[in-house]
Amino acid sequence: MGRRIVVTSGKGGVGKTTTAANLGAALAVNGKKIVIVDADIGLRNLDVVMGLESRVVFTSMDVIEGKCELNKAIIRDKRAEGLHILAAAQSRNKSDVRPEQMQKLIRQMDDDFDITIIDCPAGIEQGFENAVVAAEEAVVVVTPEVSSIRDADRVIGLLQAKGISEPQYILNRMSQRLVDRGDMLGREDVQEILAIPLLGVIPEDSDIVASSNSGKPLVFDGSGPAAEAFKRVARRMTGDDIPIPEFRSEGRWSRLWGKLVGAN
Amino acid sequence: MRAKEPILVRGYRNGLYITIDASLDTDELPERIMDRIKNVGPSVRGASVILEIGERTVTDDFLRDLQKRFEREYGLDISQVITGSDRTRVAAEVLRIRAAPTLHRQEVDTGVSDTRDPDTISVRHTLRSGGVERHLEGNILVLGDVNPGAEVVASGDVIVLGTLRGIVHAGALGDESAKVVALNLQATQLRIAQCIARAPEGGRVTGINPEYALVEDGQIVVRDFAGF
Repeated sequence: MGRRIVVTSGKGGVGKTTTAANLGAALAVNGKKIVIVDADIGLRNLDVVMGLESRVVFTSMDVIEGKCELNKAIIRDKRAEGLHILAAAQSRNKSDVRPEQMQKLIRQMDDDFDITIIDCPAGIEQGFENAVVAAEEAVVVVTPEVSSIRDADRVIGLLQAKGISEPQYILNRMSQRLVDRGDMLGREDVQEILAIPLLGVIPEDSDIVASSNSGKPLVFDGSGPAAEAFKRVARRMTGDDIPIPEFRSEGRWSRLWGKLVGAN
Repeated sequence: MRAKEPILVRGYRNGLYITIDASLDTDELPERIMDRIKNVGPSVRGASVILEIGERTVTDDFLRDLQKRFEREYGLDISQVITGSDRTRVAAEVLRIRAAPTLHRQEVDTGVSDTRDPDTISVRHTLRSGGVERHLEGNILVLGDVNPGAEVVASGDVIVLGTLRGIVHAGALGDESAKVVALNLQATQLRIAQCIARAPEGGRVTGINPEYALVEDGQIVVRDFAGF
C-alpha cells in the first residue's frame, strides 16, 4: 500500500502545483515510484508546469467515466525513473466528479506507486472535497502573508475534521530580507498560529518562475536555494532527519556585514 | 411588584427559547418579539429559535412573516413551535416547522436546561479560522487558542486558556456582567452584551499575559488578571 498525500492550501496562487511537481520529481529522483494527480478539474495546470501538456491524451475524467484504462491515462515522465502524472480534464467542472469516484480512482493506483501526490485546487468546495477524500496525509502550502495563513488555518481545521489528524506545512516564498526589514511575517509568526509540524521552508527564488514557464521542475537540474530546499523537503518526507536551515538575509547590508566580521 | 415579562427570552445550546404570554395581542406580537431580541445582536446569526406560543391560534401566513423577519434581521431559523392549538400546529407544519404541545428534546441537542444554573462547555482544542463555538445557556471554556477568523459566543463568560485572537462575544443575550478571560488577550473584536471593542493597533504580545475584559460604565475595559 502506498502513501496518499494531498497538497493543499485554501488560498490560490501560493505554489501548490509547483510544490506538488517539485516534490514529486525530487522523490522520484530519490528512487520512489510516484504519481502526481491533478485534482484541479477544469483548471488543469500540473501537466503545463511539468512540461507534459503535449503528451496528455486521456485524463482522470476519462478513467472515471470508463472511457479508457487507468494505465493509458497515466503519463510517464521520462526525465526521472518512476515519475508519473495523471492530468485533469480541462473542459469539465469540479462538480462533474463525486468524492466516491475520486476515492476509487486513487485507490486503484495504491498498489502500483509508493506515493500518490494529489494536487488540490484552491478553495474549500467540491474540488477540495474530491482531492482530500482519498488522502491520508496532507501538506499545506503557506506563504508568509496574513490572508494565506488565515486560509491555511481554515484548511487545517477542515483536514482535521476529515480525519487527517497531523497535517504538515511548507512555508513557501520566504524572503529573509523582507523579514529582517520587518516587512514580512517570520517563521515564528506563522508557527504560532498554525501550530502544526513545519515540513520545510522554500525561499523566494526567481528560478521558480522560469522553471514553471519552461515546464521543467527546478529539482531536475536547478541548484538554487528553492531547488535545494525542495530536495530537502522530499528527503524529510521519506524519514530523513534533515534540519531546516535558517536562511541568511540576502540584503546588501547583511552581506556586507558578513564580510566585515569575517563570517560566511 | 414588577409585572410579569410578557415575552421571555432564554438561551439554550443552539439558540433562543422564546416564551410568549397569552395576554399579548397576536397582531402586535411580531413587533414585540423583534423589540425584545434587538439587544441580542449579530452574534446569534445562524442559531435556532424555539417559539413557545401557548394556546394561541396563528395562521401559516403569520408564521411565515415571522420566519422571514427572523431570517432577514437576525439570521435566525425557527426550528420548533410549541403550541397547544391544533390549528397553529398545522400552520407550522405547512412551513415544515416541527410543532408539538411539548418540547422535542432530541431536536435541541443538549436540551433546554432544567435548572437555572448556567453550565459550562469546554472546547478541548484550538479553534481555527472558520470555527464557531456557540453556547447560549452558559459559559465556554477553551483549552487552546482561538485563532483569527474563529468565533466564540456565550450567554455567560468566555475563558480561553491560550491566546484569544478571533472574535469573542460574552453575555451574548445581554448580560453585562459577563467577562472574558484569556491567557493572552489579542481578540480581533471583543463584545460583551451590547458593547463592542476592537483590538488596539500595533503592539503584539506573545506568551502568557493573563488579562480579562468586563463592562464598566457601558464600556469594555481590559485589565491584568491576577485573580478575581
